[in-house]
Amino acid sequence: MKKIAIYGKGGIGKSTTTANVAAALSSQGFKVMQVGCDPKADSTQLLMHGKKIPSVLDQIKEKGEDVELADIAYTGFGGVVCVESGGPTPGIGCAGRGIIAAFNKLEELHAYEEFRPDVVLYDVLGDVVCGGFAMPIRDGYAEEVIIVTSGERMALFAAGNIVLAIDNFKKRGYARLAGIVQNSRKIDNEDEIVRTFAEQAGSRILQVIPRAQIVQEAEALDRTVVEAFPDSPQSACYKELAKKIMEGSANV
Amino acid sequence: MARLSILLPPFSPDYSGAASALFDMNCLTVLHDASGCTGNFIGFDEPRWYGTHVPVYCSGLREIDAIMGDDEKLIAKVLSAQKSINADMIAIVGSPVPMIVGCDVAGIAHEIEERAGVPSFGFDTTGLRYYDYGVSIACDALVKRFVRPCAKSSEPSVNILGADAIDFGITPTIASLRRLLAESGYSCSAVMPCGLSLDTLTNMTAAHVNLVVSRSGLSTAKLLHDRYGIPYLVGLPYGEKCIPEYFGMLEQVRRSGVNAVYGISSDNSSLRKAENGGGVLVIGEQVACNAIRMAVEKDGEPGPVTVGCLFGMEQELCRPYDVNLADEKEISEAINDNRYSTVFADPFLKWLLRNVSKRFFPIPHYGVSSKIHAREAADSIDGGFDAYLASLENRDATNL
Ligand SMILES: Nc1ncnc2c1ncn2[C@@H]1O[C@H](COP(=O)(O)OP(=O)(O)OP(=O)(O)O)[C@@H](O)[C@H]1O
Ligand SMILES: [Mg+2]
Repeated sequence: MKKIAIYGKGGIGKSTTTANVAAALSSQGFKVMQVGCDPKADSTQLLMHGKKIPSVLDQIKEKGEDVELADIAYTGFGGVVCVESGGPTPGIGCAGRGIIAAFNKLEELHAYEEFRPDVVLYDVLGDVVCGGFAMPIRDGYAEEVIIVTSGERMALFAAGNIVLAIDNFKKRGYARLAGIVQNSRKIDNEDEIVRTFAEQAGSRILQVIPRAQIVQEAEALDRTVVEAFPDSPQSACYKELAKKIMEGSANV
Repeated sequence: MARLSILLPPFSPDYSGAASALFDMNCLTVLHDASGCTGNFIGFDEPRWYGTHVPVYCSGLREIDAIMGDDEKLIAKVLSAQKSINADMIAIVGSPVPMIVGCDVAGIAHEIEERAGVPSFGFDTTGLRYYDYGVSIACDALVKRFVRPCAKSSEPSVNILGADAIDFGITPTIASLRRLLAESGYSCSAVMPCGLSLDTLTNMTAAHVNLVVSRSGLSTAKLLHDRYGIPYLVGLPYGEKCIPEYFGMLEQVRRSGVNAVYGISSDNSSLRKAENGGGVLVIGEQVACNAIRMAVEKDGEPGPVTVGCLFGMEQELCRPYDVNLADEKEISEAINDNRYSTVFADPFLKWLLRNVSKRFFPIPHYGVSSKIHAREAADSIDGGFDAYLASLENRDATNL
């Protein structure tokens, strides 16, 4: 089982990229599980065709100890197992603690043993704001982190902070950085800027994803590009990334 | 509010169990808390604390450290303490506040190990579970880390598991068990966790059978069974009349390699559900309760004996009709249930008894009444549990 956490600045395209990679991996014959780690609980929407699935924390709140695996895990496009950890509405509660509670529940219900995914993708909220949001890269969860960034200053700043956090946690046996995905914003010199960033971080660019209208078109259909336009160049791009992720770990 | 305790104190929690299990291991043990939990442990849950020099510390967690996630402060303190103490191992034991803020104690221990160069453990105890869980995870961690396969001892040999200070308090019960074992031709490889050393721990696979003497030892017994194929016997021989049967069972487990539980099988008549008036209720830790049940039955108690588990219940250690008593309300309902005319329980539980005409036999448990009744706890093996009962019978049991 390969477990990968996807981090990056808010709104940079983590969920879109993750869902497309999940769809691509499933089309390549892999069993995939995608876990949204964000109180917005919108990570798996494209895979679920727009249907909002109940989050783990919502179900715990409603059913207490009686929560079952079927209450929190839903099958989306290509057989991808979709889970949303969920969390409180903004301004109240404790979202970080929420991620931990949701992860513990997944363990308790033996989700990984039950579904036996080849790949687990954790799509984690924008910035690592507190301990809870580092949960997906703790020992026993993701072994690899992929950072999604564009060439924009704020995106790179967030990416830099994530690199720092990963570095800080090295001594604790946490996940390592597997690479950087450039989700382009069509800014000047973008490839060059992101490549320099990757080098400075001691990492590499896994894939450059072009900014493309077709992503929004697919989104309007509540689909991933890989599902809605399987033969498009954009879909090929996500599939290439998926391939690299599966082969990747050895030669990073 | 179902779990509210009005008359009873909170029972010993998981962090105390974990810290207690490491007490004899020359382990620099740090409770990661603001000091209340450490105070609980050394003041009430660890009978061996006063007068010892065991390196147990409190991290002195403060609000700002929790907010800022200043783990480095804790790590630096631990490393500097280790410089002067030079312990064989280090443990960081979690408590409620680190749990709430999502502190990764295992990750911190990982880092400490790398920087200090000695084996380090992080236990995600939260104060929300009972001591036996803490004992279990600490003992399991020790086994996973240190136990090596080794040649079987030439004479019949056992390990004693679940011999923790909270279950056995200051009684010489375990020493008496060891004497009985020696008399029956068994040597003891390791006694865990009280009296454990790195050496006996490392070589514990020399034993033929693991004797599980409390629920806290069950998980380690299963681990050793899965990893090294050592079978286990769960149970204790309380009462003179139980001893031959108990040792017969031990011999059988050693020869057959099949796990067994002493104290749950019996003739059919004693498997009856308690009816109005005639029943006996034994409340406490499950393995000890099973032992008391056997002693009481062998003593000729006519009524059905039901076990009420105070710290959680293992299905495999149950008879039908045994009950899990999860909170004060359930304990109170059971104790006052008219089906039982006789109750064995920690003396604190007597406060819940409304009907004074019931016979109440006090069986102090350190995890409930701590040092207040510790001295009244009997050696349930030496001299026989029956003698203990007789001495109580002579006095008016209800007026103890
Ligand atoms: N390569 C792309 N080309 C065009 N549009 C894109 C591309 N990638 C993402 N988008 C669009 O950007 C928007 C934000 O994407 P997404 O929701 O995936 O971001 P996110 O990083 O998950 O955000 P959040 O941090 O809020 O969870 C979406 O509307 C999506 O359609
Ligand atoms: Mg998102």
